[in-house]
Amino acid sequence: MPSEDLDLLQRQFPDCTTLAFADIGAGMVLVTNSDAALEQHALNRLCAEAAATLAAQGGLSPQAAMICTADEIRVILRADKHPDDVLICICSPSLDLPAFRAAAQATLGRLAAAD
Amino acid sequence: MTDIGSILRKLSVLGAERPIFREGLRVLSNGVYPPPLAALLAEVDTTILKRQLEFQTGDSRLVMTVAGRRILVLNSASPDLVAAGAPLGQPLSPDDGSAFEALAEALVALCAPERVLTVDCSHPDASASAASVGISGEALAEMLMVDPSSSPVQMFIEACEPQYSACLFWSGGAWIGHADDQALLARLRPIAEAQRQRMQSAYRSADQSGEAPRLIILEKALADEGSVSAAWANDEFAIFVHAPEDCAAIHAAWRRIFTL
Repeated sequence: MPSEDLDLLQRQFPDCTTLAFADIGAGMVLVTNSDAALEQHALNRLCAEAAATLAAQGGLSPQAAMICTADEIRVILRADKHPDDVLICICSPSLDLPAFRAAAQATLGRLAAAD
Repeated sequence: MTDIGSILRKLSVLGAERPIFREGLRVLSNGVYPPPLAALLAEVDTTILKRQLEFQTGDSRLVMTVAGRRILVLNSASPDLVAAGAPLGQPLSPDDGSAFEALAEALVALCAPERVLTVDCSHPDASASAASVGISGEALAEMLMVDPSSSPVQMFIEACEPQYSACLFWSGGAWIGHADDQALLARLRPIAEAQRQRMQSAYRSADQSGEAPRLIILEKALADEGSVSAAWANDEFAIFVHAPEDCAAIHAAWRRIFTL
């Protein structure tokens, strides 16, 4: 089910192509932006990778992660008050990361509060 | 005697993944990494068949005929590259000291830092520079003291030095540590080893070569809310601890070095 909040964020930041709100405790993507072109198994894998990245292990317990390669930036944010609620964002490298980071955290806060 | 390092460098350049083009010109350097002069000399060093190479940074351009890893002749130059004027059109040889120095000076002027270096490769005129011995890229690198094996990960951690409080750099099979706080460095060691293995697994599962650059920023990953960033490229790895508010600066430094 697409989310208006995620569509709005995507329109604000066209460099971001896929936005998925997920519950990593349940291992499930709950909602994506309308233009997200990923099939269910790809969404499931995205969710599993986000859970593994944010999992507490080896002395680390990250609240958010940014994974940058030459082709993409993947941003994974955890909701402040609901640590299992995360926003997974796949973006192109030209993304304005600081501006996007702030806007995405606010969007996640709204989605998590409504969840 | 065979220089294994030189062979490996050539193979690395020849096997580089996916060249980047801007307006039809192949990008050799983003102005930071690889250093423009090293990138230009590497291009000469991997050109075997006779080709005309047109190097460009901004409005500066230098056109040369290259073959057998040697610059045979300078065909033309933009007016700002004054040093290129004297040897223009003359057969080049390492025995002609003044031409050698003029060529080196022109290359240095062309390869100013922070300017994107591109190349356009075409077939030269059939008559071009048949009698020239040429000057090799290696000879120029030696004269100009260009280090062809400089490490982008090392350059990255140097760029991030104002931000990090502890850093571990894995290179050549050993860890090199740097921190004012030795307790923090000791705390980082097991994390570094675990993250290095994790990144290696990620590369293997994605079927990527260990050359491909990757940066992972883990925000507020430590109990005291310090953030940890890890960078991998060219089979080298670095990890460091920094404040969460420095994530944007670290990402910007990574982009400057690793994005063409």
